[in-house]
Amino acid sequence: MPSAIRQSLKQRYKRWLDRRIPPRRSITLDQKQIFIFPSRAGRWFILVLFVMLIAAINYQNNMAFALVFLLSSVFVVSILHTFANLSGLTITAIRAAPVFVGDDAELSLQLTRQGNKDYFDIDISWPGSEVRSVTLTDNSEQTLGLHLPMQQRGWYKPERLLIETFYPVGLLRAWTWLALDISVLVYPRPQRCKMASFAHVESGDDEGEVTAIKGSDDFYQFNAYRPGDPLKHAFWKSYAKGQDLQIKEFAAYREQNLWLQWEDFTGDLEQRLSKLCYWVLILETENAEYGLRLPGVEIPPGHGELHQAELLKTLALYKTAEVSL
Amino acid sequence: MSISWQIPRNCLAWILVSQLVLIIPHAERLPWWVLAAYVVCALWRIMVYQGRWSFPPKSIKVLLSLFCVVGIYRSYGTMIGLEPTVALLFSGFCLKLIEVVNKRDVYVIIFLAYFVALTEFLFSQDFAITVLIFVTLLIITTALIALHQHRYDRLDMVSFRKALIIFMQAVPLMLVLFIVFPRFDPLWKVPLPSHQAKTGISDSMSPGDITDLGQNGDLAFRVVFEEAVPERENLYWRGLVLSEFDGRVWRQGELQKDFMTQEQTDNVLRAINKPVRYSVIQEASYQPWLFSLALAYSNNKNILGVTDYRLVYNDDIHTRIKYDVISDPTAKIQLELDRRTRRFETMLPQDSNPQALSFANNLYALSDHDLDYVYRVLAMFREEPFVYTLKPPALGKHSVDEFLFTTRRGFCGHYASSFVVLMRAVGIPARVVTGYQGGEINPITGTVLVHQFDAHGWAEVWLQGQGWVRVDPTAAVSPDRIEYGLEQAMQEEGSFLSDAPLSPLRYRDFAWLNKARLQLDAFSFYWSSWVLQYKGEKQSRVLQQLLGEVSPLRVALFIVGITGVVLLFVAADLLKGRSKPKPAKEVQLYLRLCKRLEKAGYSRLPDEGAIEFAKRIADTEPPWKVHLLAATRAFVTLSYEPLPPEQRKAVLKQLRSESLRLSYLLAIRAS
Repeated sequence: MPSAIRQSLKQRYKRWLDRRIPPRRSITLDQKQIFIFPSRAGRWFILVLFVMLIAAINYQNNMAFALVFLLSSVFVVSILHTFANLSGLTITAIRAAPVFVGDDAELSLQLTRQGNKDYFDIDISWPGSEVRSVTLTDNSEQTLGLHLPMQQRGWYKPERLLIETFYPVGLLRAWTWLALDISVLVYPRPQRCKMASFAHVESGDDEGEVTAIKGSDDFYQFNAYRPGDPLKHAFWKSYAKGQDLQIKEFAAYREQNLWLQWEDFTGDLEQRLSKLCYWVLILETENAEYGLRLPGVEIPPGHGELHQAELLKTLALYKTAEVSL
Repeated sequence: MSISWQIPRNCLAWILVSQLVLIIPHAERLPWWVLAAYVVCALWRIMVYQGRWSFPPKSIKVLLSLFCVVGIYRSYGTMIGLEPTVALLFSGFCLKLIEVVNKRDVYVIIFLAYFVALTEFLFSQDFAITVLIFVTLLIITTALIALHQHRYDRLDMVSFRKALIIFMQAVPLMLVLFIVFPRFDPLWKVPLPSHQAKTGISDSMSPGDITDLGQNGDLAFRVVFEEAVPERENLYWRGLVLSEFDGRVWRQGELQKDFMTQEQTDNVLRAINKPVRYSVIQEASYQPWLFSLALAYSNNKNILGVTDYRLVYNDDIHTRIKYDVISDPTAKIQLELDRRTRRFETMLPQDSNPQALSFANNLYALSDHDLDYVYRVLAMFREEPFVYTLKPPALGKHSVDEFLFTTRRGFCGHYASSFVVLMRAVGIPARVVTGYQGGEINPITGTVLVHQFDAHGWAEVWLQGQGWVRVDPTAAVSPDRIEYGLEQAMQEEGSFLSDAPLSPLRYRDFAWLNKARLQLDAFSFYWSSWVLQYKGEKQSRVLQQLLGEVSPLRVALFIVGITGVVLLFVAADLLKGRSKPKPAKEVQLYLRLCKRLEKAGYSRLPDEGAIEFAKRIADTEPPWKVHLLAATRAFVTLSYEPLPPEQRKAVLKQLRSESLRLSYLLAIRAS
């Protein structure tokens, strides 16, 4: 049962934290977010003070009393100093580039100080990431990237960011758990595989067979304009007449019209996605036109960075809960 | 903590400094080899710090630890007690230095440092020591802060400044706690400093003993009289009564170990008719003897009366203590003498000092009565060529015979001893009393300062109908000693404090120096009575004045109120940040230069650009031209041109050097 209780407490704490520090893109720390408590060393220090106090009492030694009182006052005053070392600091989530499963995502943050205040030794980390220590004395802001290993495809929302400091005396720990509005798109891990043949002949569409003739600039057909199409092939005449913009397609631009299809790959869901991912990367480097067909999803062939990103995103989010993102 | 964690170099440097400062006050108490171990550890650590050596192997660490433990045991013969504990703490503190690997070790070493600092107060709470220890605390705290300021390499003042700020903010809270915190009785008995040399008069007296103290300028105790200070010649501070004589050395007898019963104590109090009230603030002597005027009574529960009418403390005096005494020097003491006491106070060793005995009997035969005999003996001391000296010749077995009939040169002890022997030889009860005589009045505080060189020995004789009467044979030989003190009495011989060339007491002839000495003493007195003795009744009186009424609620309000106000100010200062940003470095430099030029008579007009300004001055002051133009150009470049950092640094350097040269020229002009 204790573990169940602990679980429920953890849940409650999480909910409370969510209410108290809701996720935001940029947060300036103040008393609402900062927690403060004696650190491990601080708790030992209190014990040492207590022993010293007993020595002072037993020896009835007024200067020993003074020493104990001075150190206790230092402890009390440093509560404020430790707090001040976080207070006023602004943390902004900048961006996080998409990565593949198994790689480390770099999440970029920017810390901005308040006025000219100096900040020393602020440790920043996500659960699972490395700890970065930041000192802001000369510059008013600093950007840093934290690396987190990615284990699952889809949108990754990092847990709360831990910002803590022990400065100046190490006896107190001021910290906060920030929910930053930042997420990483994680693509499936590319898995190398052989491909018997592409469905560029049997496309399954009833457009029929298209033979690509290299170097030919024969007109092939009109297509509806899609963002990204070269404007020099636009059929301006019809556009001028008030019709939708159409693109003249030439056979030479359709060297290869390949379809990456779900059925052409073997394995379970993740394996298939990984293999598809691998081929998306390959085809893009080979400058091919390629499309994607998954059960329920179809993306017509195309190429370019945007097209590749779209496909990878589709693979990343396929059958995950957060497709809407 | 990861393995690669390294102690920040600035933190280590500060730790080394703080240890060095901590050792200073403890050095006299620590055995030399603890210091040696420290030096080894510190040097080793410095070598590691510089990257020349690596950490010592485990075998060396074990060896050093063993060396320390065995050494401490050998030095003190025990591991229990205050000094061995301090030595042990200290060596642990040193050894920790060569095995600091992670952050926790640093905390351990710093907490140990705080603790070692505290132990110094158990030995001394002098103002100078207190200041030193608090500075040490500041340095230790600096080390603690440096632990969290990774970016600095060496002893950096940034950490020190932070520590100073925190300390200054902490002081008001400390004072509140100091004033309010109740001083409880000790919770249990604790080991006290034990290996200290006993100071002051000892519990026995052989010829020449007190002469050593004659060379010692330390303070023995202070006395604060409630009313006027009695005449100097009546200030006989009784400390010990010595009744047992072996022909050479006087010791305390058995009877002197009897404490007074409650009834006897009450009798003493009843006998006091003209009370003289005073408090004695006695320095640590590591002996239990207290000092008071004749027929003394104290209601202090740690003070006991002894049947020879003196006071003792119930323990050795390890720290400065204060006790209140009521005395009546005019009261008659012990009018009835029982047989046992009479026999005890007239005993002389067999076959010792035969010459003196026969001399005494002859003289007694000529005397009318006991008092007459006393006068005749004193007359002998006065009229025969006896010399009062701090450099008496050594005496042999029959010390009294040799002194009375051969050398005739002696210090107070010689006179007291031989006088008592002459009394006892004819059956008059007599005994030696040691303590201090006289004292110096500090006009600033009105207290009487009794120094070690005021140590004195005299005699008491018991006369029918008079009780114990004080007789000081030294007064017969050297009246100056009693009326003016030892310094005056030794003026011709020049032996006063001759072994202590630096003692400020030797330079009392320099008025300002003497004044400074007395002022220092006054400060030390107030420090002791107001700060170190702040407890009990004094504390409740202060609290009464501050709070009106001492109730838990008011005390709590007092603490919370002051703490709140202080913390509010601190918080306001900390959280607002620095509102006014400092101007850039080049602007600071240029403005400083302008200020100097203004002093030389050239002020910049409100609408004048920097270059025009420079040109205007250069026209009238050709020798400045080169530097002024160069500096101004550098300033303008830095202010208005975006430069890569390297170049910026170079130009800034140029600005700095040019303005320095110009300042030099300006300074020459000014002089």
